[in-house]
Amino acid sequence: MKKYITLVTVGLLFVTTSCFDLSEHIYSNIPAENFFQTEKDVIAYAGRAYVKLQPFPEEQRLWSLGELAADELVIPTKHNGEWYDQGRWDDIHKLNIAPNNKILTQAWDMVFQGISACNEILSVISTINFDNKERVLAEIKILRAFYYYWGIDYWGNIPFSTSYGSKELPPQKNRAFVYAFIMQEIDENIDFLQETPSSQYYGRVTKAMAYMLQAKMYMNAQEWIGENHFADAVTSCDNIIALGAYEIEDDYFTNFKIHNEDSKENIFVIPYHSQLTTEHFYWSYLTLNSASRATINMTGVPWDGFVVNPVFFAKYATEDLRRKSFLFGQQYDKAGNPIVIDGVPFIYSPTIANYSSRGEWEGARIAKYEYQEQLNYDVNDMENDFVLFRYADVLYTKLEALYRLGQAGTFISDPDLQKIRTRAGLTPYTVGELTDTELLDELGREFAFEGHRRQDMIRFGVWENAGWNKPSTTPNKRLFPIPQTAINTNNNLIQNP
Amino acid sequence: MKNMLRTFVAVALLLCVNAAYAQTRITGTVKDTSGQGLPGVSVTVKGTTSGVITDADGTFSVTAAEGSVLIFSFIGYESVERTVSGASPVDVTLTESVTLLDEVVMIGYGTTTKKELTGAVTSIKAKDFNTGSFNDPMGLVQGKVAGLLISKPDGADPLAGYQILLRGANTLTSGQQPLVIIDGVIGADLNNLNFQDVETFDVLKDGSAAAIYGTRGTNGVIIITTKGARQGKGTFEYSVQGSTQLAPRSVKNLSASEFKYAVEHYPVSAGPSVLLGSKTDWFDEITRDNPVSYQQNLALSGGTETFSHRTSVTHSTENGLLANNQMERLLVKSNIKQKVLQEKLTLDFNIINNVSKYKPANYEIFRQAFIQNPTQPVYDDSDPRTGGYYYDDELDYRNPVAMLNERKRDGKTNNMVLNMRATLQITDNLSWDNFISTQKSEWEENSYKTQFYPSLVGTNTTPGVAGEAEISNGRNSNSQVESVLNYGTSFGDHNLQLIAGYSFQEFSENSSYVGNSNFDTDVYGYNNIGAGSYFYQGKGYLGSYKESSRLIATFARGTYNFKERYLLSASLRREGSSKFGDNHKWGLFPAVSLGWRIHEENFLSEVSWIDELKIRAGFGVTGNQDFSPYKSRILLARSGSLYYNEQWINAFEPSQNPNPDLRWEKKKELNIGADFGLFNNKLSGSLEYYMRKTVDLLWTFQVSTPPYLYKELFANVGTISNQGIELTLNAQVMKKGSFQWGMIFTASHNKNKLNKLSNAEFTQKSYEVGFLGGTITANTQRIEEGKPLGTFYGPVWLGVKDGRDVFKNQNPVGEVDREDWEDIGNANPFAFLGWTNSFNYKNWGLRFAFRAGLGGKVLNSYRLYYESWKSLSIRNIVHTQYENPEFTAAITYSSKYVEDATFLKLDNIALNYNFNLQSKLISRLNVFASAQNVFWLTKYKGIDPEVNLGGLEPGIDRLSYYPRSTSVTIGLNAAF
Repeated sequence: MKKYITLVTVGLLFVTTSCFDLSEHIYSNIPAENFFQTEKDVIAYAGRAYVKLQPFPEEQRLWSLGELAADELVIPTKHNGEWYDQGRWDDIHKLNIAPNNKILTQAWDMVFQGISACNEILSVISTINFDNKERVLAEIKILRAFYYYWGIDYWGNIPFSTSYGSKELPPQKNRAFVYAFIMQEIDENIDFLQETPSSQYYGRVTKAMAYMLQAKMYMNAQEWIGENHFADAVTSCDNIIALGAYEIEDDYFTNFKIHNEDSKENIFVIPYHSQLTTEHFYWSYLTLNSASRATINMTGVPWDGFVVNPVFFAKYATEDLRRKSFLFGQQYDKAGNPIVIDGVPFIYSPTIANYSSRGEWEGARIAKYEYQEQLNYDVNDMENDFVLFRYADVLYTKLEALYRLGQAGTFISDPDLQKIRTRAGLTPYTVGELTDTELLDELGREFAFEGHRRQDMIRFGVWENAGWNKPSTTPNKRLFPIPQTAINTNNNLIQNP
Repeated sequence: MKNMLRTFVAVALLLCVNAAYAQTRITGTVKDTSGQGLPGVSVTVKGTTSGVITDADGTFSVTAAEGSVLIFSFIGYESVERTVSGASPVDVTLTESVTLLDEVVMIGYGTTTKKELTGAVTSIKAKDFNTGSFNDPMGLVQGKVAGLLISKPDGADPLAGYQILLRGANTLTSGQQPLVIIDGVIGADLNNLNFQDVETFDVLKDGSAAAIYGTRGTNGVIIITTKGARQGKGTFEYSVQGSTQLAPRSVKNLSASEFKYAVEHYPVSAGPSVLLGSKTDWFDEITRDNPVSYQQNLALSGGTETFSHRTSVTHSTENGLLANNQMERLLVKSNIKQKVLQEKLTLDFNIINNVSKYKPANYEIFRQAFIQNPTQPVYDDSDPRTGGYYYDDELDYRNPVAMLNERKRDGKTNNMVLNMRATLQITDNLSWDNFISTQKSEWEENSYKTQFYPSLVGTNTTPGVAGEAEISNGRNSNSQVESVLNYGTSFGDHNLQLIAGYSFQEFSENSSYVGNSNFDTDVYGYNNIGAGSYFYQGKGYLGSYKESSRLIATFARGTYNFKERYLLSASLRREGSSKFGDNHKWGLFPAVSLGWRIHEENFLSEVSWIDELKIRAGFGVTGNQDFSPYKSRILLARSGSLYYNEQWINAFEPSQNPNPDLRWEKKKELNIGADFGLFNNKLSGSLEYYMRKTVDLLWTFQVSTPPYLYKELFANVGTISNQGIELTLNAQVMKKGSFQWGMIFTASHNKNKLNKLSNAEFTQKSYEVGFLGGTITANTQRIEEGKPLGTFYGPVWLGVKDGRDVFKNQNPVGEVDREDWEDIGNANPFAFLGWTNSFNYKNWGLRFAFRAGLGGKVLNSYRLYYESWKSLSIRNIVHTQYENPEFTAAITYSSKYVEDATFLKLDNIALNYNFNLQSKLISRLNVFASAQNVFWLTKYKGIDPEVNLGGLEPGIDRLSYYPRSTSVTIGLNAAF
């Protein structure tokens, strides 16, 4: 009998343990529960909030949507039908954007996946103890505020959530609500941020970055929430100036070199590595014609789509050195010889005869960021770091705020401010020269293709104006439509008017 | 553990000895009506699970108690019962049955007879198989099982198997193919089986039948029983088949002269500069003329009552239409049966080794051959970089001959199946079955593109040439352990059978790949992958992956009948899968079914024309877990690189939205059926009606960010339903002297509906699918609540005016806004029909099998992309443009290209002759000639309207396709 009891007991044990074990064995991924072992792991986890910014200047994301909707960038259909893409570029150019527009959707996804990532990171790492925890938490919160800033800029009324783990669909909040949230986040976290820029904090959220974000919020407060905060914007800019850590570079293009990490002007950048970063910086592909390969010894074949709006190009004086941000006229190979293709000199003409059928070499091309050799999409991409905020922006923001307050004279002879003009080969401004048109044009020339133009045009009240091959629009087009995919998956969202 | 086992065996042995105590040994002979001994007849003791099989001369020897009843049953013959009295020999004559009521039917973990069956199960035996040569055993039963769609969407590709779909789309996830069980191995690979080794197919169609395989029964279960060891004198069977392919059918484009005429006379996009003066038939350049394939099979079998074996060796070489495309296979299958412990313990050992070498086809080559300018020469040696091929830099335009010749692609698989079944007859009523199996597969695929491969021309970076090598390989395994107790008893008019069991299965798979480019020379091919310079340039790539999952179940089934008239079966399987969330791993899958053999009742006994009438009803729940593991977990993966503290570090993120609530998708099915035999069983068949509803559909749903990290979540949402009817008729049309005419007719109709796809949490109600890119760039289908899957959405085409398409509700620029697109048809046919006829006259046999699909739509991609004069540039267009010559505009998607898919096919026709040999050496000799895919009738303007009907985007005849052909086979079967 004893034998049977043993048998049954052992049998039962066998049956209840391994015989019914359904735990999963994971080999090629890291189960989350085993991940956080060292502080480096925490940073590697939290750091993805920064990685989510890397798509920013790609072909179909935040940057291209804003620039194409504004008057800097155009993507006309080529003579051979390329770049028509079911009219998705043309629709953006004419502000006739359908909610299922692919670029619109991907821009939205970048913002809200960034916000979700920040929410998740905060919920996970706030329960772990590690060195400099307050600073890391503050960085992530300011990054989240930065994503929200783009969210209310582009769409105004957006889903709002600061937590992770609940399945509840977030409610839709208006600009005033989100504005207040962003400002509160900056106030509560700015003291924890790194003050002096150093290579250790390169590419990270610092105090100056948070002040600049604050200044930008104030500058747009009139449009977004109907409040005048220009004086506060000046204070924010002064806080950065007071840090004494930044300066206007002698050469405008130092800020955009292949190794622009040396720039003392850049405040907040997205660092890129030619191979390591999984999202790429590849303007060479977007803008260059394949004949330009000889100029920079390019390995791959560029796609030849993004060109400079001819009207915007014309805003530059001939002597303006910043006009070198573009390729136009006769092109030269690496050795300096003029490029001739099948007997025809390779010339980029800044004008475009027919918007719906752009000639092969029509349109000036973007060359603001220095192009390295052997560029090859997804194999060897641009190493330049993309500039989001720089010191010239601080000074020009202060100038514009003071101009709007009628106090431009107090700042107009600031040597750093004047240097922005003189390094471009131009004379410094006098108060009398400053008009709305001139200021807007100058902001355009200084910050061309840096992602500023949309806000500037709206702030200066010219957004609705007709443009090059673009009819005038109604004020409701100041907001982009909410993508259909977002409305489909969250029934709290109501489409913008 | 060892001690325990010993104790257990001792106890079991004791029981056996006790049971054998009052038994006597009965011997005898079983003969057919002509007086020939019948080998292979099953002789069982009624109410028990013990029994033997007759040897080559039809003799048998069995131990049974005095007064017990012996049942003699054999496929194709009426069963006979004899009561044992004394030790005198029992001689039995079996007559051929027509209705096969006592035919054995496999129902999973056991068998029953056709008359006792209560679920919707179709059993197909060798006599009804298609004749020919098949690379996949499913070809044997194409069109024979109502509701089971067996088609070959990849045409004449020797590597392509059949697509098998049963009773509509019941799930949204990838797993839509029925579960295949070969000799007890669950989830067996059909590639490891040669068609000649198949004995029977049993298809468990309804939920009540399939529920015993709970988790994976949703798409039905196909149980294949192979020819196993059989006692008797040694036999040696040999067969050989040779086939060739005739009449290749590819999408027709313009010939060189038509192309030239079009360029000169029609408003095409190309100027005269595209006329290059040659006359090239690109399809001809890339295909073999009448590719020959052959297959040989050797089988040895024989043995005694206690030890028998069967070994079969198959070698086949199949050549595809595409030059280079080939499949060669050597398959060895061996089965050994041994009885030990006074024949109480039966050991059944199987080993299969399947080695194949193949050269896969790149379907893109067929498309390139189609679009290639027919006036362009194949070769041109003006530029040394192109390797002597004509080369054009045009985007997405490549010389198909160079694609074919300048890429070497080789694949290998090495599959091994090992299993052992040990059945212990504990008492006459109780047996214990233990099964251990492992199925392993190793594969390897290597590719080398030389510097002259069109997409590589001119891409080399110094040093080296632009060649590109890839090596990938992997292994997977499926291990299974099962233990089942089987109890059967009869008392009075009550017959009862009970089983209870445990099943454990583990799947694992791993793979790795490496790719490199820029080699010193093309000479290495893929055999020196380190020699390429891409790795030190930072451009090479490699990776590896591994995963595993488990399924564990306990199950029980009881079947009971009273007087073989009132039938009842009930089963329950509790199964767990490691793939689900922690709180949802286990699921319960119950089933119950009832049957009533009405003709046994008095009120029907007077009706002479009814021989058999049974009505059945069954309800069963099945599950689905056919998706990749780890979906419920938070897994971290590298998200990219981050510049941190003066260096680049890797950042990590959750690789997916985890779903800890992931749970079983369940299908509930009600099946009502009737089996009948009429007019002396000259007409028999069955009729089924089913209603299936799948709830908690597993799919990748779109979700909002936030709250989720990413836009997709694998979750359980929604309901899908299918209902339909199936009819199977078997008719003995004529039997006169030595002439016989038999017929099988099948018909099925299924109606699918996606009832629900959203809830409070998942709010999206429709999904755009069927995306076609390139110049079309449109989603051609929509998955939408309230509609069936496979619904095409698009503008409604009204005709052509002024060279342009005219659509219903078109806007001022002549396009139809997305909101105005309409339902323009569904891919799923209204009904499928199958019709097989077989004629036998003396030594001759003739059979042919037709199959038809009625209704349904198919999207003709070739017309959609290439039916306009405007599309004729350097690229060729479809010949059907001549039917619409006035159309000159750019093409957009509309109902114009969604065509009727109705078809009638002659799948198979075969003639065979049996030699009457009086030779002692050769016992059987049979020769045949057959043809497959003989012809089809359809209004469809493409090649074959029978395209992929599985998945969520059915009915799209894609640009990447493999042509169709008719294959003609001659073969010989001999037994010695």
